[in-house]
Amino acid sequence: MTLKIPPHQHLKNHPEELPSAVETCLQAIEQAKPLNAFVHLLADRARHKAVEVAQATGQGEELPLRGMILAVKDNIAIEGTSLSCASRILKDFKSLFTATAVARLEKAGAIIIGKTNLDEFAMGSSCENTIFGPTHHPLDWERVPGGSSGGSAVAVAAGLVHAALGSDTGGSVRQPAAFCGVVGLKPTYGRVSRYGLVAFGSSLDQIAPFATNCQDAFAVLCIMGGKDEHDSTSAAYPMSYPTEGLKPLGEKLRIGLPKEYLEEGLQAEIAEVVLQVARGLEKAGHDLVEISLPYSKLAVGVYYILATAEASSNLARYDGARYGFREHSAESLQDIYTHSRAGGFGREVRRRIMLGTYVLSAGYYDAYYKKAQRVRRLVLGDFLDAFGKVDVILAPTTPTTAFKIGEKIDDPLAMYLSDVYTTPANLAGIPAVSVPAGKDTKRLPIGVQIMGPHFSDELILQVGCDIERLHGRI
Amino acid sequence: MAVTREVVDHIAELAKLGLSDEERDRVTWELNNILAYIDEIMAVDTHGVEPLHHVLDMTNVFRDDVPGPCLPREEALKNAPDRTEEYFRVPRVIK
Repeated sequence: MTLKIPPHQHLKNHPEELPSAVETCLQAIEQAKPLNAFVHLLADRARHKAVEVAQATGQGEELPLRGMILAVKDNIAIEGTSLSCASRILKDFKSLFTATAVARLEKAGAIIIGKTNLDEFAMGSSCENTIFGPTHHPLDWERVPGGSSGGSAVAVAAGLVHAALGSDTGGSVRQPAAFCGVVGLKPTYGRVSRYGLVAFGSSLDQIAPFATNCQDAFAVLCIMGGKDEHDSTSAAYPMSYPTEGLKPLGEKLRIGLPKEYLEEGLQAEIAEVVLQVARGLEKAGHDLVEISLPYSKLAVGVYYILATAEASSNLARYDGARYGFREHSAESLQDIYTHSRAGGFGREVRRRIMLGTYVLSAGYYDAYYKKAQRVRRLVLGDFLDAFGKVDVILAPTTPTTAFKIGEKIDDPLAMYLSDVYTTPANLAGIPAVSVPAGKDTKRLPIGVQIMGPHFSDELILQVGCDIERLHGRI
Repeated sequence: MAVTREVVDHIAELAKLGLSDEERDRVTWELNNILAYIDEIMAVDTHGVEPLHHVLDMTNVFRDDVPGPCLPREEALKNAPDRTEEYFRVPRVIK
């Protein structure tokens, strides 16, 4: 991974170079066009912002993210610009307001360079379900970068930006981070306002950062997080960005290794890397504790009931009447609904709306939806028990490294199972970060995941920093 | 709990998705496949376990009912697929 633009620390101290860094960034994105990471560039907006930030610093304003250039997944709103969600139904939609997370980053001096590709409405694990065509893995173009936030992961992995925003509902930031060899943090549920994030599974969704290291992910999290009056589920948890950044771990930790996450179905090289990291942390003075999270094996099933149920409800707003794609040949209002939705949504989105509507429909609500909510409490209970014995949990992020484009697109269940290790953290609402920690024999990146109790985002990133130090960055 | 083609027709109507016959057949097969996987959840003993709606310890979040600025009409109509001067336009509903 080579950064194609000057480091943000350099730009922070030389803000006068920001306008030229923006040009360099735009050129690098142009050269990397075949990767298909970006779907919409905000060139003029970024140029304007660069001049503004460069001048503002002359007046001594406090801009902690001055110099940082970011990409944003195209399901996060920026006023007056594309918010396609990689869907035909929102292809020409222009956002009417800006997401709180983005507004806070820009206020802190960050520059948003463009919007990135994703699986339609964040539904997918490969960045193939998109009207813009698939995004390619930067190290092997025949492979997927993971998803759904594949474009943002690639933008960081290819060195085109310093950091990027994605959204993580079931692993959509951690899985592509692991595939592409970058850091991906899913914050504690409620830590970051969802205002301006197009809703998928509202009880699971979090805006989540990609970065090349844990220190940068921490900076982005601290600036964009915190209570927001526009999102009543945002948590009133104090949030500030210390000038010294993320401090080194000062204490010895008890690190849990969940045996269920290291059993069958896991690529042997990934299991080996997880154990290597565990041994490294033990050598550094931490204690390893074997733990059990028996209900985690049910997480994918629970997730696909709850996430699709919430999605079927959230996506009811796309009716072709007020905004978005309308099938103009439809002659009645009913036909506008049914034809605009059938023609506007892609195959995977239609499939999930069908599944979600089914599990919420009369006669099945208790059997599926309510049941899944009960099992969700058991999944959370596993974690609460575990965090009585250990401080953090170390696990694989994904069962395999990046797979081939087309390999799983016709087998929804196989695709869903690439989220087997990431969905538990969403169901439990706990923070989890994927950190690059090795490569397989094909030289494809391997990520390890650190999970912690609610609001321990800083702690898991500190552990992530230790892992970066132990293994050296990829 | 096998999903029949009739159930799929009903669900498509509820979801307002005008799916083709071919897709209805495919979705019937796919839903059965996915539900077969999900079925292991049905076997879990959840006796006495309350459904989990929200992971954090918060219940109703209230705020004062103070009117604030709202989207101007022209803004709200900007993305409309069809409109009049002041309204979204759809085909006549009451004939």
